[in-house]
Amino acid sequence: MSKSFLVDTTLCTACRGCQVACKQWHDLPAEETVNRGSYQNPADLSFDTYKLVRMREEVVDGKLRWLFFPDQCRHCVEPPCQDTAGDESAIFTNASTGAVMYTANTRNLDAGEIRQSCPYDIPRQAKDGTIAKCDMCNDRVENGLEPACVKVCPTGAMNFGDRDDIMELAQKHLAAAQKKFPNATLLDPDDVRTVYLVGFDPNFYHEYAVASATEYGISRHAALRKMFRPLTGIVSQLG
Amino acid sequence: EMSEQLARLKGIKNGERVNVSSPRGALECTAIVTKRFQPFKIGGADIHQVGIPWHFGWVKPVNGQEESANLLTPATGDPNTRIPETKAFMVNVAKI
Repeated sequence: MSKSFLVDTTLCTACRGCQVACKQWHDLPAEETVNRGSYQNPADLSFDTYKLVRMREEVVDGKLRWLFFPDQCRHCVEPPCQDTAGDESAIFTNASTGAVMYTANTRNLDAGEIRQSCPYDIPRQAKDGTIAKCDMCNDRVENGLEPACVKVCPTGAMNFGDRDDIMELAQKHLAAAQKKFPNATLLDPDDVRTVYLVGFDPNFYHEYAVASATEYGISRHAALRKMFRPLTGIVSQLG
Repeated sequence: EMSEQLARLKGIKNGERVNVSSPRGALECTAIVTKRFQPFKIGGADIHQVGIPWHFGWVKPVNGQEESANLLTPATGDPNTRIPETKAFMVNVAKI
């Protein structure tokens, strides 16, 4: 049984504990930031920033809403980045947790192509072409711990566990959210292991909050995978 | 932080550097223009409120470029407890 995240953005207060915990666990350096006129900092994910709370002020139905979106890798069930790379020594999926992992061998890949293949615009490269992103704190998970961002979250916005339990939890959270936010939805729940719950139209939160309907930049590997999708779909549902 | 209405009055854009001053002192900081601040009416007049955190500068960031809101605050306090009345006072905000 693989693992999954439920990120209930209706509970997020943008404390950014998750952002900091991720840096602390992975020993990532801080980025030098400036006040850009927003509390969201840094401005974007990077090779050194795997988790970022995106903040948008949007007027929805005449009311001002401050929308928080703790962005991270979706650990897709069928990762386009993995299909595009076609090199299991660089990008592979951990068999027991379902974490999509990047190794140092990603420096041999075309970083731009990998980033383009991601519907959520997650992978980021270093100067030498190595690519990095959230790794589901796989080292923690394989030792019975929760990912750092989940452990530190004070409101219960970040949740983690076996996929079945998380999918059940997602329905419970969705029902509760819909009482306050009638348009609440789960984002791509069947395609990803990081399931976001949002209270409003996903486009208000982030351009790449949800996978767009159009496919783009699909590689030969991905096209081949798509031919076998009926089979892989059945296999992936086993866990 | 300031309202969009005040920013328009002063010609200030989000993320721009501004000067904030009071009878006690002045400092330079970055403007956050937001809908979360709205002007209110007192006695029929438009009153604009701005917000500034105390701890936005001086020691961190290490370049020591940012200042302390205490440059602006009045040095007055409650006569019994001597708790400073630092929280609310008049300032001017100007584009640099």
